[in-house]
Amino acid sequence: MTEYILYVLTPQMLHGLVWGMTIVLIALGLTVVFGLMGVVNFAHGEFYMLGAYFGFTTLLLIPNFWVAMLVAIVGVSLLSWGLERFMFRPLYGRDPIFYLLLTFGLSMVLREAARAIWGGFTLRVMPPMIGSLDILGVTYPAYRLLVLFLTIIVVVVVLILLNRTNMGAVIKAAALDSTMLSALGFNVPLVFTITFVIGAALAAMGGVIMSPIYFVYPHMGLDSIILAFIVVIVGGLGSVRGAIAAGILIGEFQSISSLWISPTVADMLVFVMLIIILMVRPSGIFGKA
Amino acid sequence: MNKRLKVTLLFISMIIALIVLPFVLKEFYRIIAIEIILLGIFAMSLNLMLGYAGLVSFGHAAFFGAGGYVLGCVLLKWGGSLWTAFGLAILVTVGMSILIGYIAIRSKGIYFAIITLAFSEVLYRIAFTTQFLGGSDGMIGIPRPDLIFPGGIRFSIVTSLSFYFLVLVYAFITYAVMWKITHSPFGKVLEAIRENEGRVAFIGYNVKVYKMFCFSFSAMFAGLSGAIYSLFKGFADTEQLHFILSGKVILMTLIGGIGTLLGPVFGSAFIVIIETFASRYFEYYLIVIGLAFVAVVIFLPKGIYGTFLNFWNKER
Repeated sequence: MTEYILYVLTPQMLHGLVWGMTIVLIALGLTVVFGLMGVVNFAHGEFYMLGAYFGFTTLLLIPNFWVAMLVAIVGVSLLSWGLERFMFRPLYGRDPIFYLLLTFGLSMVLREAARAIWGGFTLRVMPPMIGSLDILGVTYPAYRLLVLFLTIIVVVVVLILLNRTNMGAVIKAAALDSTMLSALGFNVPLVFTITFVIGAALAAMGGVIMSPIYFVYPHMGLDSIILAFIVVIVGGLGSVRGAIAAGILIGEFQSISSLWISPTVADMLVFVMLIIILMVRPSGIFGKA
Repeated sequence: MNKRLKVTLLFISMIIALIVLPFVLKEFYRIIAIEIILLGIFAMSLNLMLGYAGLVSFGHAAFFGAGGYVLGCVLLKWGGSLWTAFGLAILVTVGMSILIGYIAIRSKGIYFAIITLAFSEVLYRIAFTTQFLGGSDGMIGIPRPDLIFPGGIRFSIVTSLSFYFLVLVYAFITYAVMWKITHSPFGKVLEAIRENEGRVAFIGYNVKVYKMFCFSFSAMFAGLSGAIYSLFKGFADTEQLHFILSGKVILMTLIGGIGTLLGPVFGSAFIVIIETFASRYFEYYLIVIGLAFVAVVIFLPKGIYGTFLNFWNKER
């Protein structure tokens, strides 16, 4: 029994945590942007994807993983800034379905552009470190532990930013009542842009971090956006706490259930979970009704 | 001549053109025409929800694919007749819509879109993992039996020419039914729901019931189109259930023109033609489609056909 817990369950739980935290990184951007701007960004997965690709290309030129990550984050941030400033901002005020459709078209363009530039095959990225560590009595890949460590730090930083700094207060205020905030003299469009870019940067970082584990291919964004959406809805659109809780929950669920059922069935159960939650509590676990 | 006459003449000439078309086209183009019409009807069914009731269903492929699989089951596994296949496809998709609708219609806007997406994804995975339905390969080798009418008249649909006429008749019937629906009091209430749902409820209409009926009609047409599509292709596969297809049909509806009956068919023509021909010269034609979509969403919210109609009507 203890062997089972040690050699099978614990690594699986760690996998789930790593995967869950990655989804949280993607979901954070998605949920904050929706809570703040009413924009459902279907192209958010593409930020994740482009982060991975930018990282890959940088690695070809400068074989330093951390530099590649930085370049990827900066690159995607610039792209997302351009998108927000020149495409979304002129179209504020339209209803969320409009943005869903718009970003759906955008995601298509970005995906195909990536395929055109980098090719449709799967690319491999080498992790910055190899080998494993002994943790909790189990031997676990060192890189994954690093990923876990990094993602937790990033999420904590985001939480601190939102809850303990002035900027965080401004962002939350913009989500609550942007007209009032504007009346008080704040540059609300700038707040929107900054928040959007932060969300994209987080996704890009997730893309780079996960590329050694899940590899890089054009529709990697599509594959994770659905899950990110589920996390965001289950947690509650606009709720950061919800996204974190739901992300970890779903990540663990997918990981542990894969011990006993096929991943496709596990995915199906996740959708069923989504449907049930939407029936019982339509605004998500932590969402505001 | 006055406008009424002009429109009627235009209509009649279009119908004649459609009837003559398959004879002048080569086999390859005939097949494309059939595909355009079938997907166009699918898009029209979505338009009923999107353009008239204002409900965005992101999982409509579920009905389309289900129709195809039901037909596959009836024709391949149980050796039934075409009519049984069609009838069962209608029954199953309407049943599905009642089930899904009961849960989904409580939610508004974006949540409705996501619930329908979730259901369609569940169905996709069920089809993917069920060996009886062919698993990831889908059902292949669906036969094309003759259409047998009461009185013993057999109509063979083996050739693409004859199949085209089946599809054309189907299209005419569907158009007529949809026209009746949208120009009836029921259709008007749907439009009212799209414009101001609260007020409609206040006046005393049971909004949920109206939405349900709309959903069921829409699902029925989507399912039947899916069945005929699978009959045409000879297979039913998981791609017909994928949300990318749902997205593609939404694209068709939007590009063609929400809220117009024929718009989606133009949208279907637009996308199928680009997919078939642009893909020969430009491998990344999806970029073109995506850009077209973005442009239409931003600049032509009424779609290409819809804007044209607007312009045409303003001529007065």
